[in-house]
Amino acid sequence: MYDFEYHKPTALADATKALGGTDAKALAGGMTFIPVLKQRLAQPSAVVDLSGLGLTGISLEGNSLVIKAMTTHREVATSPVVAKAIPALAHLAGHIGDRQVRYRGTIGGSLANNDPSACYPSAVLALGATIKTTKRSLKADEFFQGMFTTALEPDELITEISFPIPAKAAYEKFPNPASRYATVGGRRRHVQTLHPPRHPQRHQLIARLAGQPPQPLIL
Amino acid sequence: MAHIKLTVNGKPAHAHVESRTLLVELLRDHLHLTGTHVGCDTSQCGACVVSVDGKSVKSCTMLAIQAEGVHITTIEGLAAADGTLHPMQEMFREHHGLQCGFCTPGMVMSAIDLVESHPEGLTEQQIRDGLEGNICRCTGYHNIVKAIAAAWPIMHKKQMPQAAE
Repeated sequence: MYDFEYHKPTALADATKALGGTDAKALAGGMTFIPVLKQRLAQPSAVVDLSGLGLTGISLEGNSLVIKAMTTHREVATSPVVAKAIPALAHLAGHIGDRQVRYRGTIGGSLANNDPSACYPSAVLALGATIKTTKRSLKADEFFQGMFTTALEPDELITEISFPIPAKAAYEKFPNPASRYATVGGRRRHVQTLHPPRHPQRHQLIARLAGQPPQPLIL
Repeated sequence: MAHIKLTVNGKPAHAHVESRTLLVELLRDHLHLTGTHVGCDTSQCGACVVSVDGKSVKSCTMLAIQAEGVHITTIEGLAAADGTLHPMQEMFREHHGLQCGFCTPGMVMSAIDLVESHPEGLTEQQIRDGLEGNICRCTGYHNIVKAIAAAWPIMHKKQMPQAAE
């Protein structure tokens, strides 16, 4: 691993400032980024550790489930709030990687990385979630821009993800036997249409594939 | 170089580390605790698992500098001062839960976290699923699973409930 300057800010403004202007990179749970550094696939001059920003927590706001960016997979998987609101999301989080990965990996880190084999991007896209950043709010289909590419600017950080609570949702994947990444994964949601206009069917079915396609895909 | 302070196996420890130093390098090279192994070095095999503030963590995928102020337990910190083994170590011995022994420190550290975080009991399937982050190249999983099931009642000081599958 090449050496770098390490920063651990305690305020968001300091974090975005540290990320701006140089080739600094943000460190969330590090479950992808640290292996990337070890393989010298990245050579940032500075690494900004986001774990001191207090960006963790899960709450209900109206008809949405709001998860802050540094919330770990383990916290999502074991949260009674998530289990009640969107049990499929708790199930998804509980099957990412392995126990040790789930203790450190974060929802914001997974989304910012946008690995096509990762589980969370499919949930965010299929559930129609909104990604809030230090600069704006982005709809899922504006956020994901292709393999490992997102709309995030270098000094822009995800702060929270807001999931509208669906009537029903499910996620299934064919995991790689070693890494548990999705070889193919799919998420479906049923949306209860509150004011059905002319269509006879009251439910809309949305599916999204992870894994095989090079980027998140809504079917 | 940064100067970090932490607690390792109940004792204060400190070291001068580079930003890029991994936690496992801090433990093995700086603190000479070589019981924690590096197997794959790609966060898959689990030979490097240690306890960080009570959670099992792959120490090859955490920076040493991130360990400032934390409490770490390694395999060396499990047995009592008089040499009495931790119940999990004792059950690994009793059930022969190891062959070459390379994966064993990580297996034991993961197994303790698994048992501690399931006070309601563990089924055989839950134990097998809970070990998904630990790979044994000797493929000796069966006795490891038996050892963990046997350690549960000792660690929780009660009989294992009949947990639902």
